[in-house]
Amino acid sequence: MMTRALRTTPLWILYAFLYIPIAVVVFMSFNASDSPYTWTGFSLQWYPALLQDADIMGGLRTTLIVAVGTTIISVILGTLLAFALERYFPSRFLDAAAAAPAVMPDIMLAVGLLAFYTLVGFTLGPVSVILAHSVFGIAFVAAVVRVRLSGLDPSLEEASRDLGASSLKTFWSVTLPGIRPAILAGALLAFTLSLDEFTVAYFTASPADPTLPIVIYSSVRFGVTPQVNALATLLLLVSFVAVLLAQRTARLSDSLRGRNT
Amino acid sequence: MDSGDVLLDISGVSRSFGDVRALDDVSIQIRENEFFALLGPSGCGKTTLLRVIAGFEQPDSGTVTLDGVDLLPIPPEKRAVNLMFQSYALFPHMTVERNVGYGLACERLPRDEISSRVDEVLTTVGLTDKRNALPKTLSGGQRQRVALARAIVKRPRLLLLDEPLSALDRKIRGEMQMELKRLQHEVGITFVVVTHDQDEAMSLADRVAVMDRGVVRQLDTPLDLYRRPRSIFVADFIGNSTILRGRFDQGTWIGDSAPGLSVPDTCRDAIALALRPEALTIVPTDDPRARVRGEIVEVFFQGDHALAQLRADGTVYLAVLRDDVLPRRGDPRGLAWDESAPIPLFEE
Repeated sequence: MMTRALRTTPLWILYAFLYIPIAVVVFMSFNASDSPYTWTGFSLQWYPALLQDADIMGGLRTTLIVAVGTTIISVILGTLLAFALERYFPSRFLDAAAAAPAVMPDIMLAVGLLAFYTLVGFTLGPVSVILAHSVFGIAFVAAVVRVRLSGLDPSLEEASRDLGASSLKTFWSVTLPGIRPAILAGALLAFTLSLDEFTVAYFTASPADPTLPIVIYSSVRFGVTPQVNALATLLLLVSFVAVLLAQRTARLSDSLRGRNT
Repeated sequence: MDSGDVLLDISGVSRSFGDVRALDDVSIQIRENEFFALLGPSGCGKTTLLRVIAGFEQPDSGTVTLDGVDLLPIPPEKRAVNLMFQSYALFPHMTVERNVGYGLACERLPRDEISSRVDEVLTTVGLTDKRNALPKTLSGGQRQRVALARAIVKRPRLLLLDEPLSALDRKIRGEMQMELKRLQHEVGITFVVVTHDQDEAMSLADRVAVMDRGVVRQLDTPLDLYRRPRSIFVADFIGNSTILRGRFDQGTWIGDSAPGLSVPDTCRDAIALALRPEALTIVPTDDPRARVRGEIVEVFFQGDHALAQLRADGTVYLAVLRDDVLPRRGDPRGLAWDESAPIPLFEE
């Protein structure tokens, strides 16, 4: 018992390191005090206060529009890109070029996009942010779908053709169900990445229509308000649920696939 | 063709992948209702030929006709040919019933006809109680039956089976072998099975094409392949045999070893002789019938018989032993065989 406790201690220290900042935010969101640094008592007042805050609600609306738009574009184009790379244009260079936007420094992408939008005279707004976020969203979806696609038994599609299905029917009833978990995982990834993305959004959003992270940033420049803690706690809850959902779909699909098929 | 109508006519088919000639001028005629086997080691081109027939591969040259109709321009989904994949390729997200009915649904048949034909074929393979099961919950043998049911439910003119038994363990393999044979009689479909397992080919098929490096080396009934292999390759690949290279000289075989074996005139143009283990008899060294003498290298007990290796003049012979008392390693023994036992081989 003793050695087991000793062995797991580093693990708990590591988890503490990861979660203490989050715990502080959650804890302070229930603070009755106006000051974000001193605890005066328990209160839920900051949660209803959020709903009253026009800036935050406006930012939330924009962010949701952007995240949904980004998810739709990323899933469709990312899946198509995964097919192109896996099936039709196998090339190391194209592979690397497809993955690069996912690992590229955000600030570089942001500056480049702003310059591009200015150059072509594109009006900044939710659409410009959606397109900007789709740049890395597509890269993530393509990467996730591609792995799944390469693991798909090619004889499944051939069996479908052999049994008389057209290529379209084969795609719809065999290929798509086979990669569905990856598409779902990619969608969740694109959605959550867009949801809290700051740098690119800061450069490509219109000042009249900021996304939630930008609203938060503007409001904490002059000190953290307890309201922001409440908001962060809610966002945390949303991402936590998203992660759990992603894990569940992955597990479900694995058990559906079975080990030998 | 001596009997039966030609169903599938493969004529002069070649296919190369880069420098590798997977199929080199292959011509095979397969008859209606025949159980045909393509047998060969991996890389011999048998799978490529199967994929050409199924429509997943186009040959560089040659023709393939089914019932006299050119098959090559027809896409796989329109061919009256179905393939049972080596991996079975069951759709993991569909139940047994939907897997089997998939091909019929593609034909847009009415729902009740699909369901009655699926019923019928599930009864044939004995899986009616598994209709709502997902493939992952089935055993290997059951999966194979589903794959088979799915392939025959469309009543193809020709059923292709890619290594049908290789994924099964030994005991089930024997059962499925008999099952396949029964099914073929029952449904009256021409079967073409691809396999690297000579036992499988020999026990299932009416005729076997032995392939090696893209070429058909010999096409015969299993019995003739065993009794009259034409080449060293076939003699070696099918069954066990001892190969004696050498040349014929006035009724004697001049080999690297055992000079002066007397052989019949049928061996005149041979480049090697094959001796089947059951044609050899192990005798005491002083037995006048002994044609060669040497010592026992190893004895393999097989249950109803034993196999013994005997080294004589640098050649290791393999012989069947039917005695109750087995010789031991190092025992001196002689080997006897009938004058007609050596099989002449004319090609490498």
